[in-house]
Amino acid sequence: MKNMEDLPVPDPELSPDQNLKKTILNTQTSARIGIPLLILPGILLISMILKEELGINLGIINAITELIGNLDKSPYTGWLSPLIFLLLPLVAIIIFLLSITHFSYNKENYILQINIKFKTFNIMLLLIAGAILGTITLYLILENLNHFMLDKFGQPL
Amino acid sequence: MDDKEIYDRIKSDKQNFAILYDQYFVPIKKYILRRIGNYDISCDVTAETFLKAYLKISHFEYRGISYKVWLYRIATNEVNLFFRSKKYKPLNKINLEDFNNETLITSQQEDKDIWEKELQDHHDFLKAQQVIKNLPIKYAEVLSLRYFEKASIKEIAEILDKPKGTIKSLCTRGLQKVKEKMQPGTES
Repeated sequence: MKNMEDLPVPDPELSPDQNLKKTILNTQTSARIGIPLLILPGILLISMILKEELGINLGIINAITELIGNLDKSPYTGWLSPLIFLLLPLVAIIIFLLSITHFSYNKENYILQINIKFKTFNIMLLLIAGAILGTITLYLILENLNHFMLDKFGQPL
Repeated sequence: MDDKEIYDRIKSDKQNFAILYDQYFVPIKKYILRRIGNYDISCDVTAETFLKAYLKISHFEYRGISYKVWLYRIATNEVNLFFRSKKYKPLNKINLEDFNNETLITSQQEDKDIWEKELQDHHDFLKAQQVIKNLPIKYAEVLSLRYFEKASIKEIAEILDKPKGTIKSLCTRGLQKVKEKMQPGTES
C-alpha cells in the first residue's frame, strides 16, 4: 500500500432504508398523542375518589366535583361527562394498543400475523387508561344497579 | 435544498426530518461501514445515529455548523461508542423488528451482499481499515475521515470540534503509526 491519499475505498450502491425512516419518524408519537387524553379524566376521577370515598374536602376538589355535577344536570352539557370519562380513555387505549402491535398479512399463505411488543412505558399507559375506564364503567354499572334496586325493591344494593 | 431551507421546514414540522434522512442516510451509512466493516453492526449504528439525530433535531441551532457536519459528528460518536464499549446497545428506544420484517431483511440482505462484494475488490482498504481500527480512537476517527471519507482538515476539525492544528497533528502521528504497523513482519 503506497499512498493513503490515493487509497481506493469501497463505494457501494446503497439505498435509504425506508422502513427505518418510518420507524424513526413514528418514535414516541403514540405516547405523545395518548397522554393528554388521560389527563382530564384522570384528574376528575381522582377528585371524585378523594371526595366521595376518602371524604377529603378541599376547595379545589369540591369545585371540580360540583362542576361535574352541574355538567351532568344540564341537557346541553350532559354529554360531556361520558365523553371525558369514557370516550377519551377508550381512544387512549386504542392508541396505546396500536403502538405495541404490528399487523402483517402473508398473501401467499393467507396468514395474518399479529406481533405484540412489550414496551414498558406504553404498557404502563395502557394499564392506567384501562384502570380509569374500568373504574368509571364499574361505577356506572353499580350506580345504575343501585337505582334499579331502589325502584324495584325499595332498597339500595 | 440548502441547510437554511431544511432548517425552516423542520422547525415548522419535525416530520420534515425525512428530508435530512433521504439526503444523508447513504453517505453516513457508507462512512460507518468503512469504519466498522461488519455490515450488521453498521446497520445498527446507522439506525442509532439517525434516531439520536431525530430526537435532538429540535435543539439544532442553525449557526456555525451544517447538517452534514452535525450528522457526521453524531455518527462518529456512535462509532466511537461502539469501539469503546463491549456492552454497546443500539436501538434502545425502537426495535427494527416492529416494522415489516420481511421487506427489511430482504433489502438489508441485498445491500449486505453488495457491501461484501465491494470489500473483496478493495484489499488495500481492508488492510488499512484493520490497522486503523486497532489504533486509539483519537487517531482512528481522524484517519478514517481523512483517507476513507476524503474530508479536508477543516471539515474534520468541524466534525470532531477540535482545532485544525490538533487534527493535523493527530493525522501525522496516526499515519506514522499506520506505517509502522504496516511494515513487513509487524502485520497481524
